Formats: sequence, structure tokens, C-alpha cells
Amino acid sequence: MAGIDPQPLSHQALPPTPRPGFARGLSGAAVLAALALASAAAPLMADGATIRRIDADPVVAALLDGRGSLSFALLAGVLGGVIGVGWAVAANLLAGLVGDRVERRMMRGATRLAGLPLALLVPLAGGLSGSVGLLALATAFAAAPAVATLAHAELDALMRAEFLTAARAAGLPEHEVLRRHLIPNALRPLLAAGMLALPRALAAESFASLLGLGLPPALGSWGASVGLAARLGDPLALAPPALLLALALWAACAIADAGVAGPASRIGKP
Amino acid sequence: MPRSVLRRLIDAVPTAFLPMAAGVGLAAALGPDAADAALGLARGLVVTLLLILPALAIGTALGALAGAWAALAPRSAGGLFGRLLAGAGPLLPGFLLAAVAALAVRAGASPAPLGWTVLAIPAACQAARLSRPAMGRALGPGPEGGAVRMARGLGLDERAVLRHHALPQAVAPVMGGLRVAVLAAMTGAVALESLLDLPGAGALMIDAARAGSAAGAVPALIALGGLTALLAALGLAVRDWIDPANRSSTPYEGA
Repeated sequence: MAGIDPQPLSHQALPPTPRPGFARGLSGAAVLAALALASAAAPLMADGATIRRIDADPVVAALLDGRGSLSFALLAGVLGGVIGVGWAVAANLLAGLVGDRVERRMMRGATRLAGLPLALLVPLAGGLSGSVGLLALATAFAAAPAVATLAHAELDALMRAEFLTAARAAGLPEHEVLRRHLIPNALRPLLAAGMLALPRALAAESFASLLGLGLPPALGSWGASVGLAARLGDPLALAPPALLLALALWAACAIADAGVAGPASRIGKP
Repeated sequence: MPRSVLRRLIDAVPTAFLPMAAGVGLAAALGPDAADAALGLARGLVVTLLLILPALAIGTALGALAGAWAALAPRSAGGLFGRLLAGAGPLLPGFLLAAVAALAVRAGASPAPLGWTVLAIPAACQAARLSRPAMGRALGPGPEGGAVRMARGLGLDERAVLRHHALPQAVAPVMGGLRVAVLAAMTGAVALESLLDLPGAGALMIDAARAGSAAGAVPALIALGGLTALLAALGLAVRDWIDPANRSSTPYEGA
């Protein structure tokens, strides 16, 4: 009976499909981790006296600036991601409690806000208040509507997934559907949507700092260094922070793109 | 003017023209000299528009063509350029290019063509990113390739098929997604105006923010929001105009 396939057709293993953008996301994560490590180790490359001096090595100075830019982007990105995902989850919860109209209004507001130049709020907040906390809040608010729109689309697709209908049809109580199917399957798409805030936060902070209205000089920022070098007309001082900023933005975008492309392709598979 | 363009512009009145008028009105109400403040902001909006609109138009057109070419002939020089543009978007934010342009202007380069080029590059990257897969779908075996297959089946020559059927399908999503390019161009224009001391609305807002004057910065911010909405609405109007779905025999309900 050598010719008989031992496995039934329904259990045939499908060939593994490559996740779109996975390799790019992995390279992005590696580049961002390398930049963060190099920035953290930068004080070891320069003795304390030369760190803030004008004649310090431009590469070391750019790596030192990376500490401020990356830490602030992480803080504001996490805040923006939480606000955006919270916005989408709140809209979905309110749809169940109050009705679809509230959900539609909340999401229409997010879509409209995502189309406005909210990044301009960041230099405005920096100029009018000068507080890092308010700057982080403004940066998070600038990133949140786009995150909310994407998170809502992911949740919407998940709510219509066939396995949820099947679980309900099988008579599973609603809290069990929530615990066993909805929450585990919602976590990754929501995390992926939240990651979208990181490149936006980094770009918004760098834009504000480039105009001299971002992070205070003591914290250091790639944008501030680029802006100063552009005003002074010094290409040697401009190149290292500009290249590191471009690399960090590419890496953050690659991670966000891979996160968004990955979980969306898995929706419908419990 | 086609009816779809007119309809989009009428739709844009509350989201685009009203904020611009409100910004100018607020500047007049809050500024120390009402007429000067309102005129300054209105003039600034015109400067910003003149900076962004040509750059956006040229960048989007070139990027859309390069992206479509990348789907058609990926290994040709034009295809490689399109692929390069499509992949380089996140590496080239408008404000960073504006800093490089400011450096070049200080070294003696002419500001106007350089400014337009700098603002056109992110728009070209975004357009190439959107048009490449759209062209692939238009030429592919899927349902979106139906028009091209039918045109070839009816015996149209390849140039006419590409020009009249494939290219509009590749360009329509670019115009629909112009909002992202407009946002990138807006931040780039604000940075460029501020770094090169151009008399645009963005520079007015940044100068007021530096001086800690909310009365000077907020009206400019509102007006710039209106200008962004106007440019995005123009993109949608052009999309409605060139989208083949609007010229089909099936009634089209709009996006």
C-alpha cells in the first residue's frame, strides 16, 4: 500500500507562506537596536570633557544626540500608541454599548485628524510651553489618530472573522469567545498598529528640534544638530546626525510596516 | 472644469476654505495691527501654496510614472529608478531634505528650484510606492486587469492599452493617497521657510512660536490646516477625473 497517502486531504500541510515585509522588519529591528546600543555606548567613546564641546568628533556627538532622540521617540511613541489603540478599542466598545453611530463619529474624527498636519503642533507646543512633558503629549497626540484608524480597521476585520462566528455558533458563551478567541487574536494586530506611532514620534520630534523648538539642548537631538549645522552652513557637522536620523526613520518605518503586514494576513486564522 | 473636480472643491469649502478664512480672521482679531496681520498671513498662505503646489505636481507625476515603469519593466533604468524611489520614502523626510537645501543655499545655490526639488522628492517617493503595485494589478491576471485584457483582446496596440487603460489605473490610487504626500510637503515647506527666512505662513507660525506668541502662531496653524485640506481635496478631484471607474457605463457613487 505504498501508493496511499497516509494523511487525509483535509490535514495536508500547506507550504509555509512568507510573511510580507518580514525580512525588512527584521533588518529594521536590527538597525534600530544597533543605533540604540551605539548611542548608549557613545559616552565611552568620548571623555566627559569633550562631549558638549563644539570641536567634539561629529560622529560621537551624533551618537550622543541619538540618546535624546531615541528615548523621547520611544516615550512619545508608546504614549501615542496607547492613546491610538485606546481610541479604537473605546470606539468598538461604545459601538456595543451605545450604538454604531458613536463608533462612526469617533472614527470619522480620527480619520479627519489624521489628514491634518498635526506634526506642526509639536514645534508649537515646544515654543509656547518649553516643557518636555507637554512636548511628549503633543507628539503622542500627533501620532495617535493614524494609529487609531489602523487599529480600528484591524479590529473591524477581526470582528468579522469566520472563527468568531463559528465559536458563537458552537454555543460558546460571550466571555469565553472574548477570552479564548478575541483577546489573543487582537493583541498582535493592536501591537502592530501601535508600532506605527514610533516613526511618527521620531519624525515629529526631529522636525520640531530642527526648528529649535523641540527637546532642550541638554538632552540632545539629531534634529537639533541638523538644524544647527544647516544654519551654520557646516556640511561635516550635518552629515552624521542626518544620516543617523534617516537610518533610524527607515528602521522604525520598516518595523511598523512589517508589523502591519504580518498580523493582517493572519486574520481569520484562530 | 470637469464636474467631479468642481464637486470636490465645493465639498472642500467647510474643511479647507473656512479654516483658511478663520485663520486670517483670527490673525486680524488677535494681532496688534489687524489689517497687517491678516494681510501678512494671507500673503504667507500664497507663498506656502506656491512653494508646495508645483513641487507636489511635478513630484507626484514623475513618481507615478517611475513607479508604473518599475512594474512594467523592473530591470530597466527607469524601472530601477522607480524601485529606488518606492523604497527610499522613509529615508528622505521633507524636513531633513529642507535642512540639506538650506545648507546648499548658504553655499550659493539658488533657493527656488532647490526648494521645489526638495519638496518634490518625498511626493515622488510616495507616488512611486503607490503606483508600482497598482500598475502590477492593472497588468496582472486578477479582476483589476480585466480592462487591459479586454483592450488587448480587442486588438488595441500596446501603447494605447498602456496609455488609456493601465496608466489611469496606476495613477488613480496615487491621487487618492495624496494626503500623505501633502502632509510631508507641508512639514518640509515649514522647515524650508523657517531655515531660508521665506515669508510663508509656516515661517510666520514658527517665528510666533519662538516668540511665545499663541496669538500669532495659532491662526497660522489653523490656516495651514485648511491649506492641507485644500491640497488633499485637489488630489481627490484629480483622482475622480482620471479614475477609469468614473468613465464606465456603471453608475459611480463616488469614493
